[in-house]
Amino acid sequence: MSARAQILGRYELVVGMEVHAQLATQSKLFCGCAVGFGGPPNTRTCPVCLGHPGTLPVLNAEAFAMVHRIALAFGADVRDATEFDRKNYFYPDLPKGYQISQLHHNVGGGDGREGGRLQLLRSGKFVRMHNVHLEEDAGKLLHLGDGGSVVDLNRAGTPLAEIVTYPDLRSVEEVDDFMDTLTEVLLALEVCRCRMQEGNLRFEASVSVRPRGAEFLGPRTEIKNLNSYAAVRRAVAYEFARQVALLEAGASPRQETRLWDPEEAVPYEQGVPPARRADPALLASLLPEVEGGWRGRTQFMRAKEDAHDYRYFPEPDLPPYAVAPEQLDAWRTSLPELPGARRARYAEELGLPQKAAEALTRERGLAAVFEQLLALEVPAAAAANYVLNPLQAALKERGLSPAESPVSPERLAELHSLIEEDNGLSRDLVFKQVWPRVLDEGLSPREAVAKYGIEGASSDAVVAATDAAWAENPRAVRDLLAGKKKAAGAIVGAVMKRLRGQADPRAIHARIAELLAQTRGED
Amino acid sequence: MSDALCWQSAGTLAAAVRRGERSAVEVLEAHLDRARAVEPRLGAFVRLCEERARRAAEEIDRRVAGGEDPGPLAGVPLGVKDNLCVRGVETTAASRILSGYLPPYTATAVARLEAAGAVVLGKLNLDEFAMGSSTETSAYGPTRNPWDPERVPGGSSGGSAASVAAGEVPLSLGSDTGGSIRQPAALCGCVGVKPTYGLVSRYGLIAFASSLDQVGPLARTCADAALALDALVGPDPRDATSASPPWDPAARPFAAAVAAASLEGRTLGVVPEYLERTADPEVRTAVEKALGAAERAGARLREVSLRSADEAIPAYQIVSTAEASSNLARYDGVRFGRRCAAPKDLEDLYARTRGEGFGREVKRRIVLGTFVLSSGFYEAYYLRGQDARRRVRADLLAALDDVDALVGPTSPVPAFRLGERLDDPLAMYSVDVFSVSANLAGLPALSLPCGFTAAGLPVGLQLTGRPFADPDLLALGRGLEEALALPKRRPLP
Ligand SMILES: [Zn+2]
Repeated sequence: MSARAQILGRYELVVGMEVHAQLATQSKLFCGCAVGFGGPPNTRTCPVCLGHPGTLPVLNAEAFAMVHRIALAFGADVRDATEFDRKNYFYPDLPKGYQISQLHHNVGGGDGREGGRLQLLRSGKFVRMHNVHLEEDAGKLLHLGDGGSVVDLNRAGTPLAEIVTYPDLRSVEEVDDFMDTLTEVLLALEVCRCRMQEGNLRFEASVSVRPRGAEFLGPRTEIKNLNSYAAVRRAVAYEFARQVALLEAGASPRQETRLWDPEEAVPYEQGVPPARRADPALLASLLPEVEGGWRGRTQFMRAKEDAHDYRYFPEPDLPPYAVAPEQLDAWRTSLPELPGARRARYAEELGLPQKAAEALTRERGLAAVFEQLLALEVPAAAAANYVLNPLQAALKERGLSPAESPVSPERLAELHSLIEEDNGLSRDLVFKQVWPRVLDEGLSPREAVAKYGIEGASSDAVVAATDAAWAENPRAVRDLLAGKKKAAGAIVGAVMKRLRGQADPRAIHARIAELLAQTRGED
Repeated sequence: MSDALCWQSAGTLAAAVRRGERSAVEVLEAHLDRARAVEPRLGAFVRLCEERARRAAEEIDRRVAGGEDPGPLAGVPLGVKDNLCVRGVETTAASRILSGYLPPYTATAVARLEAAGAVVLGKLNLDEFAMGSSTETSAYGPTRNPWDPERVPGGSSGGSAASVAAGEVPLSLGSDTGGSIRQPAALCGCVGVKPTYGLVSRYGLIAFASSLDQVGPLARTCADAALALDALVGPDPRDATSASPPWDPAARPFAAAVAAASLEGRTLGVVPEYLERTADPEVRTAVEKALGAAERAGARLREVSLRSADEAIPAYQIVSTAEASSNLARYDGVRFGRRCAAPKDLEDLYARTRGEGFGREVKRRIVLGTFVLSSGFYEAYYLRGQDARRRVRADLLAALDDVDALVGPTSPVPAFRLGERLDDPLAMYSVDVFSVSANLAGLPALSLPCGFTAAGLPVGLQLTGRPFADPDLLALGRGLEEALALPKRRPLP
């Protein structure tokens, strides 16, 4: 065991996540401005989201429904009435000087209520959710080169679901598993576009370390400025190493907020007294080995004592929003099957290989095509094969999503019939000659067959060719009679060669079986 | 002739304009003349919008000439408290921090009165951000009481009350967070109504304390206030706290209630705690005389006790300052209004913009409100304030169980001298002692003139009703007006 593994092995990483997911609504949370990304600054704004005097918020029902669907998907205890709180702080990207959020009246969980849980896709582990709540996004403050700053409020007022977990994650791999799982769940719920590069989905990690086997939680650092999945993984790995390095030196981490600094733009531990800095050499030795050397570190931002007093209080401009039990039921029963459950069902009930089950549920929309094929009575294994091989490859080539597929599930099912029917068309033949025409010319499989006169070898031709191959391959026949089933391949190959690949292998096998039976009978 | 127009009721003026007997322009010019004559002594308006008003009046005259009906307030000159936004018209809440601010939209309350034919004559003075009871904290300087220019008009809607009392406009809009419509109405001798919370949209009202603020009309008679209320009330999709009343606002319930007003068989609840706390004996005498007149007109008086009376002011101070500290956070010099010159950095921008832009009283309340919401003090102050608020509401609702309205003085004192209470915040806050409860409880309340002191200062009587009993409250007010039959007096000849 390496020295690194030995030292890290004495400690346990403890991570909780705080996630901000921009809800994929048409308009902002409290006004009619469009939600979007990019565009000229301050063009998606109005008096309400600019915080003009006298303006008032009006709750977006679509966002309200979406955040409830998220909470329900986790199985959280959802309130029958939702209230909002004001979180007060000054910043130029926050037009009103407060953010409308929820502290005591989270949509799901919080305040000792059940927050539900999320089962990780890869490890199967359950992560407990603390709460899910609804709040508004801030704008963006941009610092200019000349020392000045400008503010773009296009984003201000975009609805956010804030999702907070308990500190249940124990490794970088689990953190990664969590991010992937949550992303898939949010995509399946169709509540978030989940494009991290556009800021749709933002993770903050709360990291602490304790001696392996300990029950207590160490002081945690909250890490911000994580704008990619890779940044989260690296920042958590770095923070684990940093805190372990401190503990190894007899120091103790402190509760503080840190910023991920991927380019190491800020000097090491700027603003931290030397006594509370981890030994750089020890820290470096504890970092994961990466090609080209490790880069990036967390940078001290503020200590717990300097944390804001947000002076939360109930938002007086918004009444409590009651949710009727029927509404809640309607949201609950309309939840889509989530990727985890779907994956398990594909593997266990439909008997698909784990890999196929995962592949079908990973890309949005693939499972929908698969389900439609099942509904058209295509057997699961064949349906999975059509979706994952020819269809997915064709979509990738054309840069299309499953929803934009040029081939309908009905045509895929027709393709399946064509292969299954006793028409002399082999699977290979269908995919080589029929499929490209279905894809490129918009023909149905049967139209393609008719238009191009595609035919397989007739059954008489197959019988004749097989009989000939049987006669010409005595060694294969001997092996077959001895019970070596693989020996049939030589005969099939010879038939195919003779018929230029147009034969249906099943017909050849059928004739071989007849010949075998005859030969045995003669003995 | 033109001066006589200024003392006509809004109802009379609108009727004449609708019939084509008077032009809206003629009505407007008469009121502008009156305003120009008295403003140097009064200071009710912070700005007149003559051009905008003329265009609106001409449009009304065109519509009348074309056979259209411009609405029940056709051509009625309207004064608007300067904390209500009017698109393109400077709106400052009497604060330096909003100097030069041109709202990009119009408040719902103003828009509804304009849609009914009212003509906005100008913006009216107030205590800065409506924080005050004397209109002395205005960045524009004080408004004076039309009955005695050495005295305050009350506040915070001092301009709204003084302008109506002085005949500059027959109708104005004010806002009432703890008595800011009713107390100046009492001190200036006019009618002021704070409707049930949610009945009039707050959209476009520059917020002081959101859960207490309510827009309402000031007029010289209950009938005129009712005319305005019929146009004002009703839910607004832009205000999530606006409410649907249990009656149809489109049926003009206020006009109907006032037309059928009678005190016969009605029960008024007299609150002994209020009479005991009435510091000025002349105010108490005037109110008691009015109660006698009401009885003679067929009303029954019943004593009802309000044990929460002493909790109202502290609860109000906590809730209103807490909300204000948050509501006023948006004035940071970043997006609109005033920004300090050459800020060094962000901290400096905030500190100097707000330090230079807000006046003393506003700062006092922001600091107080920030304190009561602070970690470690929230439970001891804010939550206790909310508890007290619930007790005040429960107490008032219980008191209203057996009576049609609670009755008492609006203010414990008549108009006081300019500067008299300005440096004594507690003395200033104490004049709201009878009015804040209605805001804490969200109940409708109005003030109407019930007499004069020996020195000729008006005394106001307050009626407080059950939630959404607003039309009936106006009917009771109208009944009292008839029973009292006060002689018509006009200030500032
Ligand atoms: Zn907007």
